[in-house]
Amino acid sequence: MTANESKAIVVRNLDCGYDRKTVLRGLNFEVRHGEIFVIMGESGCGKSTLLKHLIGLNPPSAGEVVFLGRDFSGARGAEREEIQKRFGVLYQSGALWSSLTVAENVALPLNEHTSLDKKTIAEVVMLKLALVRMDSYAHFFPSELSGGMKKRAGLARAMALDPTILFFDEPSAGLDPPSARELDDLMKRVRDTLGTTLVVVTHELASIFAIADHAMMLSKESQGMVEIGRPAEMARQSPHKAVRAFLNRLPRGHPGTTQLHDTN
Amino acid sequence: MEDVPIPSADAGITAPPSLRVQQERGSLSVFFDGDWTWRAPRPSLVALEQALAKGATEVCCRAEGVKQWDSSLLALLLRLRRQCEETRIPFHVDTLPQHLKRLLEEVPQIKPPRPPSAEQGGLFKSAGLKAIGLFGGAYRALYFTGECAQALAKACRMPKVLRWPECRMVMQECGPASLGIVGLISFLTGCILAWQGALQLRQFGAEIYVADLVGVALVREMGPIMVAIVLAGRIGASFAAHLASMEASEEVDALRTWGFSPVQFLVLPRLMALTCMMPLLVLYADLLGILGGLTVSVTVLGVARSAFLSETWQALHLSDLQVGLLKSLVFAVGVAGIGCATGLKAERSADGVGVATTSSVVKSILYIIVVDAIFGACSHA
Repeated sequence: MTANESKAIVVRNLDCGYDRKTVLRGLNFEVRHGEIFVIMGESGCGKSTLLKHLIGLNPPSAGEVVFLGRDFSGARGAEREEIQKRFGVLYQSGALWSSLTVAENVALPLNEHTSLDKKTIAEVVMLKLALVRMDSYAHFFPSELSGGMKKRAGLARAMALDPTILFFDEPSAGLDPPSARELDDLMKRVRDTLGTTLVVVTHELASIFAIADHAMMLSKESQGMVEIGRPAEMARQSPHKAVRAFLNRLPRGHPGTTQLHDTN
Repeated sequence: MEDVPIPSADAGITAPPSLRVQQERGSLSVFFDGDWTWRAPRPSLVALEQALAKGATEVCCRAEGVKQWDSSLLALLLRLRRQCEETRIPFHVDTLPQHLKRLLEEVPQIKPPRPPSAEQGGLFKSAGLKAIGLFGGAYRALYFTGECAQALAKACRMPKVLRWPECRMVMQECGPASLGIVGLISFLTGCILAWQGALQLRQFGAEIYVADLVGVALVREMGPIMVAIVLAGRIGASFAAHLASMEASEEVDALRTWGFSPVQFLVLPRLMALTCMMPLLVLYADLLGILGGLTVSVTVLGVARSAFLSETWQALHLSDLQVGLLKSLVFAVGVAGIGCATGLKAERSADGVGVATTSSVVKSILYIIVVDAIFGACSHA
């Protein structure tokens, strides 16, 4: 096993942007197998843009994204599809297909991408829904679910093909604190029971401290990464005042929070 | 085996999955071997089902030979466990990998999904519900008409309340941007009318009356109907889709909470724009249609251009034009009103936007035909 294969994700010199506008430059980071990796930063710093580049919705202007030792950004056709089946995405709104029931939403990737028989697919669907405590709502349509339920159902769909990596875009957004806490616990349970690698884009401090093994701070000013580390340690002893300010919930006008690369 | 959970399925398939059963004094041992992932073809379960059907005092699952596994193996184990629970026989999984055992504990009992409850009550109930729906729809239509009338009265009293920039934008979309498609359809309609009329009139040597047919039919009937149908598909549907999207993204709620009337803010500019532009488009369509009839008459039937124009002039009366323009006004109000009302009461989902758009076009076309029939009946009476 090469060094790259021992990592779930390797990002090298990645430039992210859209419409010829570069948002993030020269990103380099790695995500280990089975860890929960949080991408954080203030609004507009490019967290969601980076996520879109990681999952292949936007092509990178430069650099590469390697999943499980295979270059995803350069992959085309069948190879790209094969890599895509290795990861699942939970979108901010759940993004369930509104014309299908919850069970049909989870079953669709299994019907399209596997040769499993209908009975097994139905069992796998109920298993995934049971894992996210949504088995009682299998026949409900997305419009009949609350925000938290939509996210749990979206997670069941993201897990349909037993992905190695799961991406989450702002999972706590729009949830009440108990629901957000339940989702955090669910994410940890998914990692612990299935061994899945989780990449979470969020700026919810409670979630970051509750779930993250490692976190990466992005900056709008420097258009790049500021620091990677364990959130609790970063909050206490980061060399960057802005990182400490962000993780300790200090206001933007707080002395020293405007410069990200000062070392005091 | 190495106790690695699902990520081990990243490797290629090293050995196809297989299943072996062994029965000894009533105890059924099930041996799983190979790679149990959805990427590999599943082995037959007949032997297992036959052994279970014969009866067993306990079931022991052994997975020492499993190299990789995912949810497909977990689902099979859950099915086995459920069958054991139903027949009240012990189910042992002591030799399963740690992660697999933990997952089996995580999913203690999958509740069977509750199918949606079937409607009960039969014919009378469904007829009653239909009637209630019909009355509800009629009430909503009446209420919406009242709101529009109220908003219009307010706009007449205080023209400032009408959002003129939006009104101009919609006018541009309804009028100049529709000239191409309306012109093409009207010209071809004129050509077709002339052609079909000529086939019949030629038998009596009365080709010149093609001019009467084209002129009167276009100005009284076909012009307003064709323009209204084109605008129902082009503009009415876009009103419905736009307002349904706004409803889905809670923009309409935001208007209401700020104290703005959605009818005043969204519907009235569209209603006014379409009502202003439709009669102009009908006049344009009439001219293009007559031009189409003239082209066919001159080039195919050999009718002199001056004779065609003078016959048309004699055949047409001011009342024909008035009826055509009055129809266009009624059609415009209906198409804009139906498009906006359907959009505003759409369900808040992607599906809702699609349903509202289709429904708006179907209802508008139905409205156009019914209103035209009423006009026809009234003019004969």
